[in-house]
Amino acid sequence: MKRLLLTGIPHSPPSQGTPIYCPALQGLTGGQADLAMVMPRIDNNRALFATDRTADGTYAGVLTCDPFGTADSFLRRLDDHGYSGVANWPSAILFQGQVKQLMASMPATSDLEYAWLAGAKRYGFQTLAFFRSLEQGRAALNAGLRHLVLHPGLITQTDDGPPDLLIASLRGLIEKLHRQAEGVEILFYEHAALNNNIRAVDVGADGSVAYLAQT
Amino acid sequence: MSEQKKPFIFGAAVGSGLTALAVDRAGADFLLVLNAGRLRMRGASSLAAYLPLRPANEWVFEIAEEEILHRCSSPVLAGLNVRDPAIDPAEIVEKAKDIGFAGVCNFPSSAMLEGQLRQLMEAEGIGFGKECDLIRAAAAQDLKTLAYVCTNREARMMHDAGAERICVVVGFTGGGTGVSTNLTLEAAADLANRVLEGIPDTVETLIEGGPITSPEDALTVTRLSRVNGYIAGSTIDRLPIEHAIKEVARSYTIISKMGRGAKSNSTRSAVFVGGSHIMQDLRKVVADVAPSDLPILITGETGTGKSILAADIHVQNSTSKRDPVVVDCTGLSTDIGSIQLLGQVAGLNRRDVPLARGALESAHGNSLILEEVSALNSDLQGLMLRFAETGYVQRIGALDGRTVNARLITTSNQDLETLVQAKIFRRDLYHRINTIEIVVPPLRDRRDDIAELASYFARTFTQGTDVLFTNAALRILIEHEWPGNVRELLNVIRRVVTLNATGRVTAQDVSFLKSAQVSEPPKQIYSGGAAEPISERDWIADALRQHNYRKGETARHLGMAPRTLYNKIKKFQLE
Repeated sequence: MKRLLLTGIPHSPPSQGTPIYCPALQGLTGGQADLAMVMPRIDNNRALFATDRTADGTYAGVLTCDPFGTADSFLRRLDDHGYSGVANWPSAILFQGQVKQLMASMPATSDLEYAWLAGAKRYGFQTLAFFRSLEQGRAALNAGLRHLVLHPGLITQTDDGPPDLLIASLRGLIEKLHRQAEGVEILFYEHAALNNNIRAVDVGADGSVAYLAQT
Repeated sequence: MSEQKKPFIFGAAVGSGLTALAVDRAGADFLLVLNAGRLRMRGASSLAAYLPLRPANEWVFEIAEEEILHRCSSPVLAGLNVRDPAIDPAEIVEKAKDIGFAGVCNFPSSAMLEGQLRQLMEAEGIGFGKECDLIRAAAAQDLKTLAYVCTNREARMMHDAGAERICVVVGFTGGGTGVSTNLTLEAAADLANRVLEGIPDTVETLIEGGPITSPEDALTVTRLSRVNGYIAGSTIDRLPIEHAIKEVARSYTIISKMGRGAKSNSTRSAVFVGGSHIMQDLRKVVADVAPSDLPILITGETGTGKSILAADIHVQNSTSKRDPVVVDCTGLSTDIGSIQLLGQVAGLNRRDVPLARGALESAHGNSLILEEVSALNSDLQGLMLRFAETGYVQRIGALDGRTVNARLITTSNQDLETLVQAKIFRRDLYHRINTIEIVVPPLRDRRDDIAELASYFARTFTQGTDVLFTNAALRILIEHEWPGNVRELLNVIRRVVTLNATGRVTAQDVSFLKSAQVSEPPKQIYSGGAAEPISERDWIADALRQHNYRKGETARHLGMAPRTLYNKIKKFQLE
């Protein structure tokens, strides 16, 4: 089963999985990693170029909603630095309610992220589209993306409902997307803060993405 | 409200030295340096302050150190982010103090975020509780403290942490790169009151964001609520800058050279008004030639101010206090033109004819201004040639004459060189009178001066009171072709200022110019070498048609005396 690692560590051990390097995650725990989108503590995209890759298949975790980003030159630099793929992390997929509305005015939305990834795909990058809901998953597919990562959503201390119900919900969501588009690959983000340690295999995913924190 | 509190506190959230200096000089009570301010100046939304685009605190320190702290006299507070597990509130406050900040505030605050995102922040220890620690640490170090809050609970938490100023955020501000708000000013005031419930009057309370986009809005909200101050963010930089740049840029598309060169410091006459290079050159030429006694020919289209310039040269040159002798050559009749110029002896032809001194003789020791000299018929041209060559004047019927010493200044709205080639004007007279030729440019060739001229004329008609022209109004004035030149502009301004006593001229006030626009500007005065001045003829003919051939109205519209209009109608055979 395919396994990737979402991490803020520039050079993680490849034996543990293909890295998705996202500088905004440096020094964060698994729970805090979900907040990276609203933590102005680093220039995520610039930091991607702080270290050269060695064509090890690393994905770049990109702030695709950067209001000052220029896609073509940025993608060329990513390519020059040895990144093989790109992922939308930090991401707007976790915004809800009024925050989602506010951020959409910027604009910072999942739709915008998928459009950016589609552009990167055309450029020649492998892409990973994080999504949290069926609606977002369908939007990613509609954008032409075929490699998706299901995020279980923000995990707070109050999320302690029956795991079976959550598993059934996640499984159903993945099945629907599989039915919608043949050949689509859906990975599951095995959230460190999830109770009962739900695994990719439990929800019928094609692989997993785990969070690797700095120790 | 406490008696000790200021009636109104004004704080400005800035992100650049430009904005900071401006609000500091305007007397802001304090400045906040926020990463949002910088992002706005870069054309992004304030909301981008939350994104991992730059380390917010380092950025704020850098902006303040380089552009603000050493240049502003108002207290400067740092907007500090603590949504980072690596940041220790006490350490970051100490750093801000070392750099020279007078205080701190919690920005970008988690108060503006809600739902599970906010819950997770609090659970992870990087939420509002940590922002309270920031304020607490600042208060402990005797720094000024300002707390951004959105709820009553947050207000109470910040008060407990020692915040001396609490600002209720009622949403983000709308506009071009902002967000929309559904709040009314009344609702914002109600919200502020609810948020500040239980907060003692000793705490200064402010408001920011939402529907408040102007000083008037801020005043309204402070009257409707208990807040006694306002923090301007987008409303002090983004909104006014967006508006101003848009307006000015639109004006620059027309007024490409407006403001270039020095403004005229002369108040002698309107013809000298204008800072354009062309007018600066003209003034220099006039200053050079005016003191001499050489004949001057002033040419230019109708309404450009030739007569005024001629009179001005007289004033600059003459030691005499007399007015110059002015002869309108278009009004010299064929029959008695020579008498008008030379005079006549008493009893000429008839016993009851009195002695008459002619214009040339009257100009002795003075200036003689011949207006529209091209209108002289061939006989009178011969007469003037003799005068120009010898200065000798002999009244008609007299046996002898006298030598007259007069400064000859002539004007013409026609190209005399062309008339000479067409054998309509005597070449020898032309060479006599144009020792120095001054060409007064048409107004369309010095559009740079139109704004200044309009203001000058407006002040003239309001006895010195300044009149404001909106950019839109100025654009219309500048776009107009002005076939009647400065005279037409003068009359337009007279009309506008007379009909509008508000002291403000808008596009609406001068919109009639658009409908009256001549389709093609007169590129040349003459058509194919023919003697007819087609542009002026067409201009007058068009005006006559517009006013149903009512000559009084037409003359007023064209800005010329009825007598001049009659002469021109006759001359151009427009009857």
